[in-house]
Amino acid sequence: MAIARHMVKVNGVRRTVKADGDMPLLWALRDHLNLTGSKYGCGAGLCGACTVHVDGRATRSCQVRLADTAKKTITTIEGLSKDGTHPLQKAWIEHDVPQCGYCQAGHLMQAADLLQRVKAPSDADIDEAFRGLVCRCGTQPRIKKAVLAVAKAGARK
Amino acid sequence: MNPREANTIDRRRFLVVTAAAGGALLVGLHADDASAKTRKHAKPPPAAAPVRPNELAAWIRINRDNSIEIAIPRQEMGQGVSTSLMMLLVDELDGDVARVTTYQAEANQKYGPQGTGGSQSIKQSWVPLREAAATARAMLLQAASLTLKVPVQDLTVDKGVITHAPSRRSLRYGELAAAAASLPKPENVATKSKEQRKLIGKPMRKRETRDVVRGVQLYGIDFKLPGMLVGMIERTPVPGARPRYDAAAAMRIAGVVKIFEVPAVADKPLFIRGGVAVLARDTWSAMQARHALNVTWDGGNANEESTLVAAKQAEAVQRPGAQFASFGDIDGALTIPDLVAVAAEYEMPMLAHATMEPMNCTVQINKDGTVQGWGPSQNPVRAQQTIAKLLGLDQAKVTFQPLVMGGGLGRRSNSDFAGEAALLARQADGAPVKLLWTREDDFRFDHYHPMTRAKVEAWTTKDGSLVAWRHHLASTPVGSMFALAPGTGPAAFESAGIGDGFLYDAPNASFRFSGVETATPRWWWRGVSWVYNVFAVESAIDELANALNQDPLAYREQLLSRTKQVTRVQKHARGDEEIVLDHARMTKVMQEATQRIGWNYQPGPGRGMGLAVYEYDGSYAAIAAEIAVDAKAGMQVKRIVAAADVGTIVNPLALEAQIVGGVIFGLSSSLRERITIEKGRVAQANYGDYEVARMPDIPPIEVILLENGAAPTGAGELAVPGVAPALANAIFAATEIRVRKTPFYAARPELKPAV
Repeated sequence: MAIARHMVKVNGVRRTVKADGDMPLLWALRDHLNLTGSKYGCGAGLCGACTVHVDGRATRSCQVRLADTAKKTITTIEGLSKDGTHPLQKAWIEHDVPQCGYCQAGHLMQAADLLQRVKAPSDADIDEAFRGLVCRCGTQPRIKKAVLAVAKAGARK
Repeated sequence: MNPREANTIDRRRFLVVTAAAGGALLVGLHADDASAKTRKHAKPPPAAAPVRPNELAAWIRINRDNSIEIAIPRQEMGQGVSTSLMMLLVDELDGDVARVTTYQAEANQKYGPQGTGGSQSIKQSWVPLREAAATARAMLLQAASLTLKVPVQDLTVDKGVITHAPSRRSLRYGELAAAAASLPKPENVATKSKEQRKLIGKPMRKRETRDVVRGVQLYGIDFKLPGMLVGMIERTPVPGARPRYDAAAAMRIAGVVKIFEVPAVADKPLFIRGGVAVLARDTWSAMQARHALNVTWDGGNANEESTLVAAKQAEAVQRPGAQFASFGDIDGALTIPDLVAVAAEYEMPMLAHATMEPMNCTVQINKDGTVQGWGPSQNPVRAQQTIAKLLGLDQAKVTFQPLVMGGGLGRRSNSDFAGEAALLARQADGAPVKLLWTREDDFRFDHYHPMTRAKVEAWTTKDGSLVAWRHHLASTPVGSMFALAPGTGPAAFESAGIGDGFLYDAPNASFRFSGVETATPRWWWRGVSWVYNVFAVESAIDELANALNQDPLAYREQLLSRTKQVTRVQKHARGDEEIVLDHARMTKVMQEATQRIGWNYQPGPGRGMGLAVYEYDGSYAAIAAEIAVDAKAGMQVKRIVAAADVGTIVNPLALEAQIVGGVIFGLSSSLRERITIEKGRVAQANYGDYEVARMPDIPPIEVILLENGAAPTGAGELAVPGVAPALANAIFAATEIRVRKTPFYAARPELKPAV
C-alpha cells in the first residue's frame, strides 16, 4: 500500500483524497470527505448500509477501492437531491419509513437505482432489489409501500 | 429487561417549576441526592426556591419568545421516543408543537430513569411527564389570570396562547414565563381527559426523518472531534488467552499512532475481554494495523461448545431444578381419571443483537482531570459510571452525552464499549478516542440472548379443562451477569410469562428453573425471557388442542372464557406485587387477529394457520400467521396479523411501526438466527453466516391496534415473542410436523426456501 492523491468526483464536485489506494470508498467518504451519510454495517458487501451510486448504479461502497474510482462518478445520499426533495426522500417522510434510520441511506440509494431501471416494479422486483440489504428495525414493509407510491406517482406523470 | 423484576430504583424527586436566566420557565425534577441517601423522609424544596441549574433536570423550557425546548431523558433508537415523550409533555402543556425543539438529555440521574429498555419509557413517563406539564400549564394560567385580572375559568389556551375571549385579550406563554415561575406550585393538578387531548392518540411522524433521508442525522459512529483518534481492539477470542503479535509491523502502517494491550475487566456486567489495541488517525489505518498485528493466541479456555451446553440443558430439565412458583397440587390432580397428557421440550439458541450500527463510543480525558464521553447508549448513566469506574474517578468528574443509536435491541443497555473507550483514551495523551467495533467484533463479542430449553408437561380432561402444568426452564441465565440482590429468586430475568405470570388458569402448576453456566456473556435482547417462555407455552397449548382434536382457536377461547382475569401475588424483597392477567382483554385481541386473518384451521393441502396469544407486562398481543409449504420451494410465510392492546395509544404511527418491527424481529430469529460456540469461540462473524430476515422473507403484515382507556403499557418488545409459536403452530397445521426448535430453517432444512 502507498499513500497517494486520489481524485474523486462525488456529488458533482471533484475532490482529492490523500490516502491508501486500497482504502474502501466508504472510509474515504466517511473519514476524509466528511460524508457520513453512507454507513458502515458489515464491511463485506453483506448489508447494503454503505450503498452509493457509482456511475449511476447502486454499489456497496465498502467493496470499491478508492484507487478504482478515478474515472467514476459517485453519488452519495447527501447528493441524491440538492435539498432533500427527491420523490423517494419525500415518500420516506410521508410514510414515516425510518425507525433508527441507520440503514436508510442504503435503502434510498438502492430504491433510486431500482426506479431508474424499472418504472413499475412488482413486489417480486422489490424483494429482489433489496435482498442484499439488512434492516434490523423491520422497516421493510414501509420501504416497500414508499417505493410503490413513488413508482405509481411516476407512472401518472 | 424484565420490568417486573428490574423496575425498582427511584430516589426522592420533586417537581420544580422555576425561572431561568432570560425570563424562561423551567419545568423539571429536583433531587437532592445527599438528603435522599441520608434522610428517610426528605422534604420537598419550598416552591420557587432558587434552584442551582445543575440541580435541576429540566424536561421543559419555555422561552420568552414562546419557543419550547424539550429534553428527552429516554434514549432514541428508532422507537420514536423523542416524538412520543414530546407529545405527552406538549399536549398537557397546550404548547405550540410547531415551536418545539427536542434534544437528547445528557446523563444525569436527576432526570429520573434514563435507561431505555423493557418497553418501559411510555409506561413510566405517562404520569410524571403529564403531571409536570399540567402543573406548568396551571401556573401559566394563574399568571395570566393575575395579569389580566380575570378568573382562570374564563381563560382558554391553545398553542401556547392564553386568551380571554370576553375582552379579546391574549398573552403568550413566553410573556408569562417569568411571572408564572414566581407563583407557588399547585399540588395535584388534574391532567387532561381523553376528550381534551390534542396530540396524544393522533399519528405524528418522526421529525428526525428529514435528517435521516438526507444522510445528515448524526449517529455515534459519525461523531468527530478535532484531533480524534480511531481505536480498535483485537479481542482475546477465548477467555484467558495470551497474545503474540507483531507491533512493529502494525506501527509501519501510515496513520497508526500507538499499539498496546488492554486488560480484561471481569466486572459484572461488563465482561470486557481485553486484547491488543490500536490507535490510528482514521478507520482504515486502524483496520489495517489490526491485520498487520497478525495476532496469534496461546492458552485460554477453549472448551466451551454449544452442543455441550445443549446437552447439559437436556440433562438439567430431567432433574428437579429449583421451583420458583407453584399453585395447587400436581400429584394430587394427576389421580383424576382419563387425563390427556402432552409432554414436549422446546429449544432456542443464543442470539446476537446485530444492531446495524456496530458498538462505538468516544471518550476524551481532559488536562483538568475531567472526562467527557459521547456515544450511542440505552443507559447513559451506566455508561458514565463505567467510564468513571475504569478510570478510577468520581462519577461527578465524567459527563456523558448519549448520541442517536443505529439500533439498540437491548445490547446498548450494557456499557462495556464505553469502558473500552475509556481504557483506550487513557493511552491517548488527551486526544479524544472513538472506539469502533467492526461487524465481526460485534458478532463475536456480543453479550447474547441466552440459550434455553423448556420441558413442558401438561394434563387436561377430555373436555378441555386444563388440570396441571409442569414447566422446567433451563437457561444460560442473564441474571448471573449481575451481582443480584439477596433474596432474588434463581429465575430472575428468566421467568416472564411463566410462574406467576402464566397466562392461563391452571389450578395445579409447578415452575422450575435450572441455570447452566457458560463463559459466554448473556444480556437482554428485544423481548427478553418472554421469547423462549411464550414459545414453550403457546406451542404446548397448541399441542394440547391437537391432542384433544380441537381447533386451537376454539381451545384457547374455551381456556380464557373460564375466568375474567387471573390475579396472582408475587413476593419480592421490596414487597408484594399483584399481577393481573386480564382474560377479557386477551380474548378480544385474539378474536380481532383471527377474524382479520380469516381463521381456518384446515385451509388446504400445504397451507396452515397458527396462533399465539400472550400478555406482556400489562400489554396483550395475538399473532396469527398463515404459511404455505411446498416440497420443492420450501416454506413461505403468506401473511401475519398482529393485534395489540397497549392501553391508551400515544402515537399510533409509531406504535404500528413497533408492532411491525417486533413481528419482523421475531420472524428473523424464528426462521434464521443462531449463534453457536465452537472451541470456545463464536462461530458466526458477519451477516453471511448469521442470517437475518431480508425483504424476500417478509410477508404482508397487518396490525390491529385496540384502543382502550387503560394507562399505556409497553409496545417495543410486545410483538416479538408470539411469532415463533404462531409459525411453529402454522407449520404443524400445514404439515403435521411439530418444530420445537429455532431457527426453523436449521432445525428443518426442507423448510428453507431456495434462493
